[in-house]
Amino acid sequence: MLEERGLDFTAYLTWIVIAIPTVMWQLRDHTLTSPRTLVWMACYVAFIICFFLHGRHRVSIVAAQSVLAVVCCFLEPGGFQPVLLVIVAAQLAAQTLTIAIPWLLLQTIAVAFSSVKPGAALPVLLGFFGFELFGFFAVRIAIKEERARQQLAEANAELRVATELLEMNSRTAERLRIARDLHDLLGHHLAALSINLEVARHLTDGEARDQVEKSQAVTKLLLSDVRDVVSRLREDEPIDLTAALRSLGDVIQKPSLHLELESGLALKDPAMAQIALRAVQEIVTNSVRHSGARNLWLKLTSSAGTLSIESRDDGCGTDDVRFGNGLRGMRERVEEARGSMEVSSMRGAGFAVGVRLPL
Amino acid sequence: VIRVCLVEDQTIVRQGLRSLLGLNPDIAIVAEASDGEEAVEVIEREKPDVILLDLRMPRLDGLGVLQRLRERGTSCPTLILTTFDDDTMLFEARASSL
Repeated sequence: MLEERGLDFTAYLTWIVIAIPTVMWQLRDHTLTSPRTLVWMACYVAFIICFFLHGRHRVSIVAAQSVLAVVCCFLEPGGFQPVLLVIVAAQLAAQTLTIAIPWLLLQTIAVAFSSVKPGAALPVLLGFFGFELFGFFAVRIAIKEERARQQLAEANAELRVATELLEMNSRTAERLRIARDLHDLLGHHLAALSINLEVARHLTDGEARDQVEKSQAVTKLLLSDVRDVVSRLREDEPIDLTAALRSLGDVIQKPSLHLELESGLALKDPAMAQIALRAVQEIVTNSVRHSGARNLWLKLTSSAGTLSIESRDDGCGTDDVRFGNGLRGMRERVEEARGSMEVSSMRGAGFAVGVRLPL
Repeated sequence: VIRVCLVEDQTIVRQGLRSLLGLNPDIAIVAEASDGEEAVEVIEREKPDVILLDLRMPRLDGLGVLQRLRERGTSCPTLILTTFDDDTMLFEARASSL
């Protein structure tokens, strides 16, 4: 998305803005190859590398960046070096205040007293610290909003799926109610009519008897019609998941859901439809919550009495797939229905889920 | 004379059956009941030769009547009446070996 590219771009720009003046000054003073400058360069490059490694071992990498930032400020006082402290502050946003604030204060004190003239240490310290807090809280708020957005998306998905299931159930209940009414009301009256006609047939003869017999035939026809309608109403209506899945896509903004549905895909068994819909919901929720993916591809096909749901996203992925409550519950439901489920993921290669259900 | 007990909750159906059976002089309807509880009572009292029994009834259904009678050691040939082919109920009735 545009915002993320903008953020990347800002980061690159920051590295350049910090580096260029320092390098220019060294060129001017002919000290570019002095040991001090070389050490600074090494620390600076190490800082940037750590920044990109950040995701892996959170706290230790940020601590390394903190130390490298202090060393850079010490080696090259002046210029924009202290901006590195703000970058550290931003990365600490996920930590608690009791860890982050002393940490920031400590690194700022280290910089203020190692690289600033003694008299100016206090105002500089306060200034840097203010910037760091600003960066820290800005990212913290952004993270909070991102979480709120995810929770909203999950709640929306849950609501949408629950609505669909409720509709499915109430449609079935309504059909059964009609069937019962037809059976009870029409059925009994037709049976009584049929019996009365039988009595009438015994009591009449000649032309009247012919008429009664014709009426009896019509009554039998009516009875069998009602019987057909009742048994058809009692059969399970095939459930088309297309509408339900599309409406799920409408409420999720990130990742955007790309659906590939076999045309005419309808499930006979409402219980299976429910499991399939819940599985898709879990896949979507999982992707929203953990992957940071931009796209989620979902494919539903049926062949040889099996419904298969294939999904993959372009999110961060993981080398170590852990089954949380959601995935575990989904696997239990699928296996209970004599289906199977597998999950595959690699760091940086997204997350894929395959579910197979017997039809 | 064959003594028959008629058990059916729908009044118009019961009346129709009564008229139909009334056509045959060899059949006498000795008791009628419109629910299961009543049926058990009159059957034990009248000891009919044959029961015409509806399966779906309020209070105690046809299967319940058969079970209740068997528990009390009363056995009687029974014809099951159903408006529709309620297969499951019929199979249950047969499984009750009645």
